[in-house]
Amino acid sequence: MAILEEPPKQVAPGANTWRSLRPSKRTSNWMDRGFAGLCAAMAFVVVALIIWIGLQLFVESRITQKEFGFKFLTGSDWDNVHHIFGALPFVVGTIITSVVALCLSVPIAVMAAIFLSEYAPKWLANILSFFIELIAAVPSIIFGLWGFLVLCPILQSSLYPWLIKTLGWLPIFRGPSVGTSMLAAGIVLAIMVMPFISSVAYSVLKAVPTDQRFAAYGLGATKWETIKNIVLPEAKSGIAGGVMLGLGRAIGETMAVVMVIGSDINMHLSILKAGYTMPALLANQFSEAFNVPEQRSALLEIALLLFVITMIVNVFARGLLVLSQKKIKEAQRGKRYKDLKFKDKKMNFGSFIAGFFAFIIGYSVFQKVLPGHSIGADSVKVLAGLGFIVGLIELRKITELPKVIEPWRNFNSGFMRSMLALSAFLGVFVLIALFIYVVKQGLPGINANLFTKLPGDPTDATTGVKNAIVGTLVLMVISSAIGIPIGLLGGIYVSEYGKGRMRGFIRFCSEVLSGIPSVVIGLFAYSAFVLPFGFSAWSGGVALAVMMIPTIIRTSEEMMRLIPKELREASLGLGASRLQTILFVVIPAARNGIITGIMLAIARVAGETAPLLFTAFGSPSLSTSPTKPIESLTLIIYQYATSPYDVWIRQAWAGAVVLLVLIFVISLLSKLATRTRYRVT
Amino acid sequence: MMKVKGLSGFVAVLSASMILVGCGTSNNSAGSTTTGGSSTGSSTASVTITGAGSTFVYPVLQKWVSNYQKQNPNVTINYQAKGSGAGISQYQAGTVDFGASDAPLNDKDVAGLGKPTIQFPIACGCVAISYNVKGVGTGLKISGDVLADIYLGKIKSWNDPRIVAQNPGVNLPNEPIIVVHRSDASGTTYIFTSYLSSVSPQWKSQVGADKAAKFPIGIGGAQSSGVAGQIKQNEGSIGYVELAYTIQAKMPEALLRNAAGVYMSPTLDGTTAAEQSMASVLAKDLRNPIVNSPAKDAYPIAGFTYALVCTAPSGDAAKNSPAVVKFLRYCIGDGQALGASLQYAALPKSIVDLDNAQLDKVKS
Repeated sequence: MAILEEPPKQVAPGANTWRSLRPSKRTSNWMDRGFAGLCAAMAFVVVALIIWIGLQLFVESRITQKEFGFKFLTGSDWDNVHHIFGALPFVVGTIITSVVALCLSVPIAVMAAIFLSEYAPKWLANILSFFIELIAAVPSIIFGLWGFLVLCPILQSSLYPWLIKTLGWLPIFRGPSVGTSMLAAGIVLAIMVMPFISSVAYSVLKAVPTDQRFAAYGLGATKWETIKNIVLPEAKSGIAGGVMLGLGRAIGETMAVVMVIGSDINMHLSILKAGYTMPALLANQFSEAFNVPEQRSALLEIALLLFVITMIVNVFARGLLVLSQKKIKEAQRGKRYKDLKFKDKKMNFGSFIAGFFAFIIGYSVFQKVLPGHSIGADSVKVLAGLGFIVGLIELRKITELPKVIEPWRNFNSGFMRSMLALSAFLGVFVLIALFIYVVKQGLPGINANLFTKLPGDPTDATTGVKNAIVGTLVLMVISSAIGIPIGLLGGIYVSEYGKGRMRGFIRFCSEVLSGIPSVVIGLFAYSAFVLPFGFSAWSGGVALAVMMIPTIIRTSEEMMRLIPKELREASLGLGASRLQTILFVVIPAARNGIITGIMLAIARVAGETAPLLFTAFGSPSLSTSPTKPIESLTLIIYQYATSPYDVWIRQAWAGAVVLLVLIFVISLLSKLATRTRYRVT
Repeated sequence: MMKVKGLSGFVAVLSASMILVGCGTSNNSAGSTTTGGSSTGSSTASVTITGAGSTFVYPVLQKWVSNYQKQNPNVTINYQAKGSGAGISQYQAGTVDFGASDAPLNDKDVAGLGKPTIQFPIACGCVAISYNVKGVGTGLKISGDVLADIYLGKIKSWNDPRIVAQNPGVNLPNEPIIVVHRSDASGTTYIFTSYLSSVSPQWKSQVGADKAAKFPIGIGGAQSSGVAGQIKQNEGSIGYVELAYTIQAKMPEALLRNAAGVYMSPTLDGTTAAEQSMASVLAKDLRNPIVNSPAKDAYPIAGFTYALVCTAPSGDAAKNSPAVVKFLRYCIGDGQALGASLQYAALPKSIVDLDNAQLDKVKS
């Protein structure tokens, strides 16, 4: 009970520190009900938003619905000049790139999750999962630029010729290839969805009861055999749910894909050729479709289609996850044992080295396959070389469970451990490579002018992007002002007031809302706010707020539910009202966790481009007015990085560094905040 | 109890959102110009002029703005470069003082704006054809009809007899041609497709001229830099970008055969020559394209960015109008000389005169 910082000496009602805040019973009752109603209303904002987004897109796309009907889905022609609109090439392209992304991402993501939950010591798991989560926070525009400028040339000059030579007889690898291709988009998407899949898989694997593992070890299984035969089957449906969530992400990704997909409306069977996806089409054409009603309606119908598809995928994913939670809860009814890694002491250092070793192999393979392409700094190579030697020596020392008789089973188990470690380190590797590249490009452009001067003449190096930095902050403030109250009150509803099905329903809807692609939310905000009121900072802020709400609801709910029931009972027993209990007991105790959730939500939206393209719109002058268009860092990066002028290109990369640092710092701070959060013991 | 409350909350929010949906569909264009103060032409009052539209004109416009503001510290000019389409709709809604579009509006569209509007060229640029062919440096010769057939997919290989015939002595490989175009809607594509429409009847009927024309074949690059990158990455590719990109990235430039039969490289002089030769055509209608000029020294793929200005402004817009006209006169006058370093061709005097005649129509 140390949570009540100053335990009142007098236990008489009203004698505690809240005295002055304590209203009469009647008012208290009234306020209690009012607050409950308010929370419920905020929680239902989530439901209303989903319906509103769907309705808005449906209503605004009626022109093409009437004109083309079902043919809109089956038509393979998209001709703005002759007003012929068919969505098939984009639907097909979206499906192909997403499937490619999952094929590449799922094995690595799941293996990384297995390494983190089954092998890695806690501190290593913490570091690795933080790095993998950071990938999710990297703005997609930066992925896009990196993919186009670094990845695509490597693929086209090294990987594709090899693929065509060896696997060219397969129709999907038929040449001639182009650098920007469906495979390139698949690879970029695979990197981007990996954190989503692995974090879900990680938490599902963690939840598998330890007794089952014990039983398998007792029967003489090796660690890998236990994982393969016992743990994975148990976690199957949960992992499948995570995969579906990743699929939803891949389908809706916009800015990264638009730069590497090649935007070819003709459908090809070969994934080495260019394709087109639905979000890419929206980003490419919507800005010139504002005053062409047919085209605008057609594009909004594409957004509607995207909305429906991602809804279905997300509903399915959440269904699977709920199923797996139920299953695991049932399995957990028995006794719980403490952690099971009985060889942890020896493995601590060893597994790290094993991972590093595997990472080095991966790196050298990469260098071998793609000669002449430096993908990181030289210091990384030196580190890798050192790790290789240490790894070789250390690897021999690692023991885990008592060895079984058949040597190949031991080998198998050890081999799989290395592979799993490799997968986990791959995420870190990608992030480091990306970060080094961006910093290398951006560092020369970072100077005081960047922060203090406004944009101007593209031949003048003393200009800056002050307006974009200020604009990004203004957008953060607007979206926070809208998103945090709704998210927090909604979270309170789900955790404190919601009961049974209603709570599940709200939670479900908020998860579904978080799965709606950002470009769809951008188009929704355009048709709901920009069409009637014009481009403005607040329309962009609303779009971002819609994206923040689900994250805040989920984290604040989780954190508040961690607070033991006894604390609430004690507070109520002392005569506090429910409102007082929530405000003065539950929220303070869960504060750090809630702040974490809010910061993560802010970090997530800080890097968004797609929803701002058609709402906040950008502005070259310094503006803090919510009713006027406003610049953001992501918008200016997109505009400048694609310009022909050195000064602007340099400023774009410098802006990318600023944005990355901003997001990483927020993420790091929130990570540190959770470390001290209230924990149930 | 809670459920009931929850439900009533739900209904309340839902009905509120319905009302908002109702608002969303009705199109009331709100807002007017952003005035930083009133301007009566006096030099002391501060004025804020807003414009929106073409991204093509943005670099030079920024240069004009920074220079003009140095000379006129009381004037602030705020231009949003988010595409011609956006510029037109902003202009129509009255949220900006002037719009800028790479494609001129036809009479029907002008009527649709709902206000008396003039449109006239303020900047001129040319579109270069670049390529990446093994063993072939800059200066590959191409005629318009060959270019159109490449983009129609009728010429598929670099050693096609029609390309070889124009390039004696050049060793063209037997490699497939990879056609690259812009994937986003853009004025560059509009200029390029209007050129192909003027040289190829098949292109005109099958594809036409548009900012987001549907290319029969080829891969798309996001923005001009995307196209430039695609060309660099893919051997055997051909594409079109604004001149600034080929110069900045030192990419090969094709010599294009103009209507007089001369192979021209993309230069500012060639572009100005194209403008000059079309002056009489432009005198009839400033919206006529200047592609495929008949002059001997003209580069054939050139185009304008047009400013859209209301001739009878009212309310706040009327207060700003003199400052807008003054700024635009600066752009087409002294400003033109500043464009060369950014690869914009200056408007010749004949066209500046036509522009000024248009600006004279603005009532003040």
